[in-house]
Amino acid sequence: MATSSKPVPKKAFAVFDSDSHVVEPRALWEKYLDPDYRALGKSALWREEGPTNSYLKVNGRMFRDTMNPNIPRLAIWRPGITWEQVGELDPDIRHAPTRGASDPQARLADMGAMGIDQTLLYPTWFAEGFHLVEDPDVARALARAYNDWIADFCAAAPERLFAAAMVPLQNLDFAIAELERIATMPCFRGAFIRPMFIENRYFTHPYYDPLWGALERLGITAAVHPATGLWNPEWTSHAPFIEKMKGRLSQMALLREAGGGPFAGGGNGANLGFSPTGELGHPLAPVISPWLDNHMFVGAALIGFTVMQRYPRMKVVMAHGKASWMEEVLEKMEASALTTPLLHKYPVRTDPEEMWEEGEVMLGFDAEERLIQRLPGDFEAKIVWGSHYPRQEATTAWDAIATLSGAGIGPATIARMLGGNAASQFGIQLKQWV
Amino acid sequence: MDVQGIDQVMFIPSDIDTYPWLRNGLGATAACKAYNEWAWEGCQADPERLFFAALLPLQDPKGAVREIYRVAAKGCRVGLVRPIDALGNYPLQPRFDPLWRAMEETGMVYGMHPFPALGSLKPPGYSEQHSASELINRTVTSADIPHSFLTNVQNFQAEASVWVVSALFSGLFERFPKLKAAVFEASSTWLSFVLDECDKYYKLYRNERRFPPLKRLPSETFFEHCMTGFEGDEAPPSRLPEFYENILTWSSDVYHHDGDDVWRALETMRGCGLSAERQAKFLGGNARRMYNIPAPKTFIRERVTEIERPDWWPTADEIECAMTAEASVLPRAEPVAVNTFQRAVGGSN
Repeated sequence: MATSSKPVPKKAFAVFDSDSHVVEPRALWEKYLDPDYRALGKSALWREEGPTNSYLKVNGRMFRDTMNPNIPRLAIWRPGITWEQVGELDPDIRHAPTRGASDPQARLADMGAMGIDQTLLYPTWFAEGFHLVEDPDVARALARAYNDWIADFCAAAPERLFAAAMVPLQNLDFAIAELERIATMPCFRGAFIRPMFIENRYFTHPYYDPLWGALERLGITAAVHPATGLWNPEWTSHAPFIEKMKGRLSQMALLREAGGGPFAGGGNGANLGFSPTGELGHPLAPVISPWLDNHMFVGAALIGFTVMQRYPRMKVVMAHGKASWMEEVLEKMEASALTTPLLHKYPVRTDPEEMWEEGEVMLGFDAEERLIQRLPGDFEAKIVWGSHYPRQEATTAWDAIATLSGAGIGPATIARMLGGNAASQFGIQLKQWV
Repeated sequence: MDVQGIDQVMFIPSDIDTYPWLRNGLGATAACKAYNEWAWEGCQADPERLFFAALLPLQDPKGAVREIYRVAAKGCRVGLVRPIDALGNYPLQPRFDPLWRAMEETGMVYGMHPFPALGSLKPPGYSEQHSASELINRTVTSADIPHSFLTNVQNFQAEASVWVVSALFSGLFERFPKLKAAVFEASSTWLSFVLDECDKYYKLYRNERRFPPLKRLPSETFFEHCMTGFEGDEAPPSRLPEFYENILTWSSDVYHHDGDDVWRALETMRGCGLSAERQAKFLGGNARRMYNIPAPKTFIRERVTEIERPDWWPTADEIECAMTAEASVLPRAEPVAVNTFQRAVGGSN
């Protein structure tokens, strides 16, 4: 029998995966949700995956999957699979989602294979739809159910599994009460915040000031993570518009109409034309919407609208949106501060580079980012690594270490980027199991 | 230009946010033609140094095709397109294919120019999102604070990146193999990861793609067919010169408020250790190659240091005062709550 000559990868430090996901099981609604809210909760937010159709239900309205449900791309990656292999999966047969998405023991096994010692867990379907839930009481019940379920998930390995808590931002009093509740539960190291418009209001609004104050006071990290947005209406995040433009690529209108498209706020959305190829066949938003969503949060809320300046001890992690763009943001912000009137209710600092240096914000990065490989010294204090497990684009810690080492980055810096920074940002004790 | 160290320039109109909303196709064609004629006449003052990018009326594709041939005959190198969905005219739809064919035939470059989505001529009741950058405006308008601070930071990248990703995945440059495209005023750092993301997702979604397969990866297509402008972000590309070497074209953005000059760009690039050869590419060589413009016979070699300023020019003290944090506070009828203000100026809970 042939034996593999590939060396077993090794590492001398603990890796903290700052961006991995769970997929919420039915049990969250059926067992963890307060019985008084089960019917309402399932109407307010529910993920249906059936043999013939799949959708996300939000406020009783269905947002049907635009992707092929045979390949559950938000939970398809498993150790050993490459991006090319994901792209070669047969789209006509049903592929099972990765077990580790919902099963903690399977998760721990996969973490072992990936070289990951500890991880912070983000939601999947709650990320897509929770903040669109309109009824604050139902949102509070759903948040509690999510948090109770994931606390039990993390209990399988309390020193390895940590979570970002769901926070019902629909009512800031409820949000702060839930933050105070989960602050006593050791698995919660962050509060999940999706950088999006909620009730047509962004995180630039003074409405959210009590949230930042509570996070700072309680020492809970703002764990900011964009969602794909593929099940959301227009005007909530960048994805719906990108998908509408994707539709334009094959729109050969026999009769011209203005606008339209999936989830559009106006127009009838009808494509009255004939298109020989049909639509592109897959989403485009995942390519750039995470970066744009995070970029806007940092630029608008944290820097432009002085959240970072007014709550300097609040820690923030911006997951899943790349990191190398920050150099450009700081250059542009500096120019804007010099040339544009900074009209505000509060004093606004005009030295964004210094403020960034002093601040407690870190950005999730991918090892393949060229600027980080070239300028590790510029980034090493401000970035945290994430695998994106179990999403289709996931990578392993071994991949990251190999890529960064290959770029000439030393082991101490890699250890910081892949573990040390996350430990300080999320307030965890790094421990090595792999 | 002489003071700024600029030898040759491609003019772009400022009013690029209004003309896509002109609802009458003939009127839009007439408006574009009027601008293009005016711009061409202006360039005759020094045809070796001054060039213009032409406006194209997407409201009237046939009119746009005629205008491409007309301005190309006058020596125009670039046809400008705003990457927004005003009136449903996002400029990558199949019905605009005749424009790109005309650009191929005339050698004109597809000039994709983003802008903050002000929507000043948007028809009343138009409720759809028409630009990727509208969300950034809404972070301001939804916050009850008048703050235009962010209009230069993300608006351009949002519009440009949506276009780049859409164009590359659509196979535009495989259907029109001679077409070249210029990405204006969107900075350049984001390209260093977006092109890699395009390649990644092309591989991941290969089994679901219903358009014809691409012959090359998206990044390879970009490097062959496209260039990107950069302005104010000279440092990052100077540190990744092998990536940007043949795709970067410098912009001053003058006379907009954040405009700049060549001398500062050179200082930054030299400070990053960029070779003189690459500086020359970024500051002119790449652009001339794309637009097929010969180098001028003479060029500026020395910086003008004595500049006459008007009486109203701010003093150093006035500038310093304007830069203090407190200078941004809006005059209010009532004071801001004490604890909030204390926190803002450095106090804590």
